[in-house]
Amino acid sequence: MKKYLYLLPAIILLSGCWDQNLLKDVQLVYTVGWDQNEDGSVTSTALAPPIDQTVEHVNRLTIEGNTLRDARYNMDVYVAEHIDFAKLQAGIVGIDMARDKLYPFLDVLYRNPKNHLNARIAMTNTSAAELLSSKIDSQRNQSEYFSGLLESSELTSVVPNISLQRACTILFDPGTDLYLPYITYEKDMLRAKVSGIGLFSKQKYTDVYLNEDQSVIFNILNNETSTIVTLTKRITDGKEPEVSNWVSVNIEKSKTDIKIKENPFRAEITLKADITISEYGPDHLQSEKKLNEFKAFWEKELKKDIDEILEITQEVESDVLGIGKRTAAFKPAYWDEERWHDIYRDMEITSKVSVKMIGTGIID
Amino acid sequence: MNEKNEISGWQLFFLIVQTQIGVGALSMPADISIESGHDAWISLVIAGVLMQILILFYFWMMTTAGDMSYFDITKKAFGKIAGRCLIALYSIYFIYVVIVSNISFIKVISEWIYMDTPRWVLMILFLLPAVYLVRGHVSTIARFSMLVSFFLPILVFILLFVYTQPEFLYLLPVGGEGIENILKGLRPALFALLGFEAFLYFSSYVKKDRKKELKKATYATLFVFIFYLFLIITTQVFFYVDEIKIIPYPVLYIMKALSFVIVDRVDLLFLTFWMVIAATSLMNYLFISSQAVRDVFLLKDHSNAVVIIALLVLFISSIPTTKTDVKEWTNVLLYLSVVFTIFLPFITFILFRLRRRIEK
Amino acid sequence: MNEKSGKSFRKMQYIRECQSLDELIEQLSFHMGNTQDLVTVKVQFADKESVIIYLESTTDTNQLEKTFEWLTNVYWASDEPTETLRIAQVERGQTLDDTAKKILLGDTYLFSMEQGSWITYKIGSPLVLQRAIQEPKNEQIVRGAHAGFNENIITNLYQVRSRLKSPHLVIRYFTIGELSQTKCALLYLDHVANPMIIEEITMRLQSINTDVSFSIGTIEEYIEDDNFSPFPQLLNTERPDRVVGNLAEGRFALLLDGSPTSLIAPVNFFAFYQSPDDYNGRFMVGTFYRLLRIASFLIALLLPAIYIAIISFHFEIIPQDITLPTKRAIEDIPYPPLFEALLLELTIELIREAGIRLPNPIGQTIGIVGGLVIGDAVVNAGFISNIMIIVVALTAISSFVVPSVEMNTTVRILRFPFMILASLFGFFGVAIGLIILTIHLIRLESMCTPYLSPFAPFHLTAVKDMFLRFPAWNQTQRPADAMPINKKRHGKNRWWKHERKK
Repeated sequence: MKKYLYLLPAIILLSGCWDQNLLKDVQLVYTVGWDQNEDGSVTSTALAPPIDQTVEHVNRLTIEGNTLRDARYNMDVYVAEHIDFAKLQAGIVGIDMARDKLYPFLDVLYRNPKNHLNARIAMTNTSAAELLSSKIDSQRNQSEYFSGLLESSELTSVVPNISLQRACTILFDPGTDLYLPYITYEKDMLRAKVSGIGLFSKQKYTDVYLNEDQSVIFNILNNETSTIVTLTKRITDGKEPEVSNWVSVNIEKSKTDIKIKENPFRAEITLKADITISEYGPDHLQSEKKLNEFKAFWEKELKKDIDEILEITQEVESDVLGIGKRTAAFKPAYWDEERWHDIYRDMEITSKVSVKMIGTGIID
Repeated sequence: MNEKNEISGWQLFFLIVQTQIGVGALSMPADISIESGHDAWISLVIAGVLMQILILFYFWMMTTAGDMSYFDITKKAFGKIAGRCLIALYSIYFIYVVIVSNISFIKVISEWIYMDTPRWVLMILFLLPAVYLVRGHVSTIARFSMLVSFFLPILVFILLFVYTQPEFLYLLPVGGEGIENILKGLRPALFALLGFEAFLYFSSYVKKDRKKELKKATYATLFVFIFYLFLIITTQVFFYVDEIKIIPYPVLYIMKALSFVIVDRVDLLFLTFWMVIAATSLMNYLFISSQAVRDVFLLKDHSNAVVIIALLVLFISSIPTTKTDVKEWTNVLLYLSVVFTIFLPFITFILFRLRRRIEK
Repeated sequence: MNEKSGKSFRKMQYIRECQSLDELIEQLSFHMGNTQDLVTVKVQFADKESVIIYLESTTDTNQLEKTFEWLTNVYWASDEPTETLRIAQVERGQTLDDTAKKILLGDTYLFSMEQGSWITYKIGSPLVLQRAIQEPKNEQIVRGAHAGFNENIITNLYQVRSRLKSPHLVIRYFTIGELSQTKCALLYLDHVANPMIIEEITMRLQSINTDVSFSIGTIEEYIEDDNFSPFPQLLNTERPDRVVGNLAEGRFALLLDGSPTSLIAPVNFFAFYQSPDDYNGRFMVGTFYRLLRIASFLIALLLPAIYIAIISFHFEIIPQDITLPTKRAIEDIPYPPLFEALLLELTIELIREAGIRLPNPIGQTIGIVGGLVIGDAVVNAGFISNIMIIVVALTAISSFVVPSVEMNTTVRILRFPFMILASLFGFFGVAIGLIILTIHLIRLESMCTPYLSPFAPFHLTAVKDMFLRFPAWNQTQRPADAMPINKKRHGKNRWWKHERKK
């Protein structure tokens, strides 16, 4: 027995072997950007928050490597601690990388058991390194800025929440194409901006993105709206002041149904929405006639927007609404994985919108 | 004072549940989906029905045989010497089961969290509590199984978060993978449900009110079946089926993607809970194998056998090191289990009936 | 003793062998080891030369004086020997040894010689000095009875009897200790308690072979099931109401003379987390505090281990928003987390140990100095992170929530192995530790009944009282863990509620 007692201090001293991963010994990367270089190698840009609270600037590292994992290990050479992606909040895909097949790049993040899969993924119109090294005016430090930016845009339903997990599921599904929040840099504001949703086709960026207004409609179509869904349209011309010509509505509840029909093979999109008017200068909305006018106006406008989005997606062969997925599920006879994007481009998609005015805010 | 070698019907229920639910449940959705794609749940349903029929057969068998243990029945059916040889085979089989469940669990945690810790350290840690428990009476094992079962509702609760954004379309079209694939998926599905044979070995400890109490225990398989169905459907509405095929532990991946305000990365916590559940399965098998060894060598009690078996398991478990090794070992078990859980009980029982008739 | 010189001394066995008063005194004195507190007073009693013998240390002399006076008066009046509660005439065949033992217990003997034979009176006048009935300091409650046991077994038995006036209450005496001859009482209700358990404890009590038994803690070790378990298997209490409550559930209680503590068994783990206060308040409040106490057990046991596991193995688990503050807090700590935690835990244990035996005001000062000054200084010096201070302080508070002192020490000791396991293997180690602990609790028995009772084996009816606290009228069954032979506690209550509805 006594012999084993000597083991006890040994065990305590030994602690700290093997899989120990001390929090104080890692550098947490909050935001990372990926770019593909012309020769096929990749550049990874990592932003880590400052440890000292009084320090403003973040730790920025831009490292090249043959693969993302390679670049990540190259980073360790430059920092005093161990680089760790476990707390990654946002990943920004540079445009060159987006134009190439995306999954092989994300694979490293997806496969690593240490990472979590909640990090938001977005793309940018330039290289990610450029975006991440631009000067940003923000209360938060820059490493936390991008995830906050995406989160607040999700709140107003401009972009859906595309996490790493979500992106990978979509990338695996041949019946749906990927869409990523599209971030641009505004030089005069010194800020980044979420300017819509980038459309992918067969894992590759199509060089087309939906602008903010279209993105909101897109989210409605995808049933991925958040609590605040606001649309503003010009309803009349020539009223004074100018602001009276515009009307804003809140979409309180919306439901989109996509049905696949046969003979001929087509898709029918039905949108039902309950809306309230949130801003309208001239007021006087009591009369039934006026409300019906509004209803007709919004049904027409929404249908116009939807058709426009459908036209864009069909043109670039980007089946972001998952019509292929539904075809595979409900009409497997028409489903052809190889040729799906051609079928999608040429298929007929009709839309129907019915709007219900449920309120006018607290004034009439 | 209280009978320590006696368990109640509900305790038997939990013993079977905990023997069935082991590490396999983590990889089960992936294993079945590889064969039968998005119709994996159909394979599971068919396997579940088959298994339910089997356990009803077991039930009938154990009630007609009176309160003899399964090994006693074997001895009676094959005669003393042949019977003992057969039990020796059984004990080797169950030691093999313990080894496989040991290495497959060690594989999960050494892939997921403990990449650098030597495998033998993890194995010792894993086997230590098992030996401590199994050296005791069957009633303590039953109590432990029951206590551990409280973890299952937690798992179900966490997985319910998947249903905030489920994609039921991934389950459609029903039967789209074709009958052949569905039948192919039957094999891994049956393998996942393995462990129901615990009924044979534990039921002799139920002493009071046998018929009524044993009937309760047959619901155990139904319970596990429904639980697995929930798991498989949850993973299928969360992942696209091709994704399930490449990720080995879909349940853990779901957890990894969930995030709560107080805890990030639920999977790490969950794996800790799951470790307890996996350990219980191993303990129950260890107990069965020690019983078999006891009957072969006609030992007075099983507690020394447990230590020797555990040491054996520890040494043999360090042989397979690579992923493919583990897979191969598991595949061997698949074929062995058909022999030991379906064929042998059938033959034993027929012989047993014949002998009885002759004796009369 | 000088006069004895020349004569040879011979040890005698019976009183009747003594020929004279002096010889008797000499013999008795010898049988009591020539102790100097033996008082012998020669008096005239009933016209005869008599001697009163008693031990001044165990005799109430005032009482003796009065009784003796009364005895003399009665004798003058009636000329007959009397016997009362206090006064008894002793048989002739008594041995000197017996007499000496009785004197040791506090009796006084009056010997007088009449016609060559001895007439002996025994006058009972034992000195009883006892503490008043006070509220026990370590089991204070807010509402309910504030009475507690004291060091006198008769008073203690009185307190139990007066709360349980049932013919079923059985008290059986045992004498424990070769030297101390301490009286021990076993209490149980014979129509509820399981006779097998009573037989078991009787056997265990009879098998005790010890010299002195000065406190009940010493006999606990002789009779408990497993000495090597860190968990107490008998419940200590100084509260008669708690004893009565447990007796009514079919358990037994042990009382030892000279010890204000009573031992209750068979008990289960959750009994240590109950307080009489639970029953005096509303049942929802009682349930809440019970659950809180169970939670405190888990916190006290696991919090430091989990914290160590997280910051040294699984920091991924820390939520997004507090990762950075945590990292900032521990960034410059030179020690590994285990060492950091041990340092602080040991400091707290030191403070507790230092404060516990000091007079109250000094004890408080130590607490303040230790807690505030060391805590603050150690963080400022950068040895220990402030999060560790939070963790350890929370743990310390949680460990003191346990209403039972023994369980409190158990929990405090048990968390060290968990911390070591956590620092070696992270969550895996903690889980292994927990499994082993659970198995140990399942295997442990208190008087041959399962220790983790309402959970393993599972009894739904017992959960109602052991784990939660349902309203009293709802608990119609006694908890099954003590295996009572009479399960029904009471009949239907509150029937008027349904009557009125009609």
